[in-house]
Amino acid sequence: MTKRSELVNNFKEPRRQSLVAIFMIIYKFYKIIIRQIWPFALIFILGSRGGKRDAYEEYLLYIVVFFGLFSMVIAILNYFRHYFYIADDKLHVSKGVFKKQKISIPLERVQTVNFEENVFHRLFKVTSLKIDTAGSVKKEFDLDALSLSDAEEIRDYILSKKKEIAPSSDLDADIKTDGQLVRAEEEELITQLSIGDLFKIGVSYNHLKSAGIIMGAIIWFFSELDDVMPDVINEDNVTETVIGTGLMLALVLSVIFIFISFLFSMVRSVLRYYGLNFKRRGDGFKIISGLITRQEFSALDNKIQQVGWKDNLLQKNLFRIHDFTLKQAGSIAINSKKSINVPGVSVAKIKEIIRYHFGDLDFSQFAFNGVSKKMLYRWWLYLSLAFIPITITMFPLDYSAGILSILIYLFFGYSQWKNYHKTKYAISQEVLYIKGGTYGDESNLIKLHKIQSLEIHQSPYQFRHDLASLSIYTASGSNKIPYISLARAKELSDLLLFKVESSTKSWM
Amino acid sequence: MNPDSSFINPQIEQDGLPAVADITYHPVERNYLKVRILTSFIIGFLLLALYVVFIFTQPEDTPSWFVPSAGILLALLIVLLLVSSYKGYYRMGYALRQKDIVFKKGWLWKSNTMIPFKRVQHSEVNQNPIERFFGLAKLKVFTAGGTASDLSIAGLTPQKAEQLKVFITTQTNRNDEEE
Repeated sequence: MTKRSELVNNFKEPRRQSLVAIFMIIYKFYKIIIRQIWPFALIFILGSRGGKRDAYEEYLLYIVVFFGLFSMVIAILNYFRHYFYIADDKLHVSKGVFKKQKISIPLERVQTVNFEENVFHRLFKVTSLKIDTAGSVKKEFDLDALSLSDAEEIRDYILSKKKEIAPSSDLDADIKTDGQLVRAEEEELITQLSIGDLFKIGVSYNHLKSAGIIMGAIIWFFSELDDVMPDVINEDNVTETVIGTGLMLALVLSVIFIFISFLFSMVRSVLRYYGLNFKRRGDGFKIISGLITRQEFSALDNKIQQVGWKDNLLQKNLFRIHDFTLKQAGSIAINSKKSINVPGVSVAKIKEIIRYHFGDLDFSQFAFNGVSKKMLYRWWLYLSLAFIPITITMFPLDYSAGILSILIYLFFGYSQWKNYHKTKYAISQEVLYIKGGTYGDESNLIKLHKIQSLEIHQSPYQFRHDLASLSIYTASGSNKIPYISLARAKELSDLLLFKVESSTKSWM
Repeated sequence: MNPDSSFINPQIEQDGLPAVADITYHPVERNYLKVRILTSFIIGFLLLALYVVFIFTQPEDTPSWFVPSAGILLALLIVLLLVSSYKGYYRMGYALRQKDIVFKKGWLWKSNTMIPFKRVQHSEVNQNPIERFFGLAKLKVFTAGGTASDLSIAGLTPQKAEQLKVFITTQTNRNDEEE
């Protein structure tokens, strides 16, 4: 990290990736093949069960051998035809076996350089490298395998070179001070997860939702069983014992289920978040995590469109941790990796992250406004329209089903009431803050100048009551302020438009 | 909590803001009403054709109440379609201001979309066959906010649509230069 002044380009000469790349290309190839053909393969294998075994096995062998050789040849050719080098402040790549392709990416267009390592990468001490470029230009650049030291060198070189070129051409130039240029390569650890944190994340994962679904299935299963049983065994006392054991079984099963679900989320949280490091690097954030597949992602300040965090009942009351998300503008190249999720974050840490991204944001300046109670009445009306007929038809058929239906009705009604009370919004000079959630809390922060467009809409009901909903669109999804007065919606949209139009900052 | 620094107070600033409510909207071409009504007629006709096909091919065990009630529902739907294509036309209107474009539409479900020029990614003009027949075109304005936020002004003359497109592009570029 000391070579800020003496930038040496060690990548002038066209070079190939690490030899491991051959292996990685084959691996990628098989992954795609298997994903595409597994249903056919399954039919094939199952088909071979019934007679004519030898013929099938022979075909299978030919196909496997063919694909094996084919992928090997392709991978080796690919490897030898794939060169990359850096010259004239551009990253050049030439690749392709049948169709030769030459790509050059100006370094100042590079947004982020991400590493991703799966098991094999880690075994061979190499990493794959993905480069995300600005704008919607569909120029994806990735390398399958590169030694760790080379990868880090190339990243540092690209990012510092980019900084060198950037100030004159960057739209955000007025914000960038010399101080920021200097710390472009500095990394500051914001948070990391200990084993205890992983445990908390695993435990507080929403078991309730899946438990509810499974419980419902179990109840349904036993009610079905109940219908069949009396026909088989006619004596009443026997039936009672059956139902008794049925309930016992349901109880035992649900305990087992909760245990399994618990175990599952434990494993999941360890696999995904083991050794998580969330860092501030230059003008962005960086996250590294994962036990088997180790991933590294970056989010740059100018690409981040929204910042949000949420919790559920367990997280809120027991552990006081939150799931934190940085939502980035979607580029075509790396579509699925738009947002960065950091679980198990405390409020203090959230404030720290926000300070990095928003500067000194004074939370006491937010004066929250609620939404119209008419929203709740409307929801309750729809809920009643759905549930009252169900409940009325249920009761004559089955007493307990009727009661269950009423309980569910009340539960949903209560949830809607909770949600109504949590829906709030506030606007400061630079930030829009939207709150939501049902049992947990959700928060979302949007810098006003990152808003793309606005829409006021009114349903017939809202029109009659002079109400409206305001949708706020950003490059990383939309937000809605529902059921506010029409006058207020207009006032808000005027203000937001004014903020966007008068801002000199670019949204990306 | 300090209410003075919140949004509610900067009323002075608020008064100075150009309000969307004050704008006069330009209606779209009269011919577009014909396009709308014709389109609903075509959809209605297709639905009716499906209904007739069903009457002749219905299975033996179709309940006796099914065909007449489906017919009533269908009739209601077609009437609603026609009324909304007529009424909705009169709600359509666009306005250009110095810094943004505003478009309103919808009869029962009303909407009002606002896009600042400096957030426009690109815009395009296109025509479907019916529109071409009536000498009309559609202007589409895209932002980075996703498909839901895009704006589509139908019922413009091709010249007007092209003119608006050029205007928007110039405004967008000018705003970019200012930054």
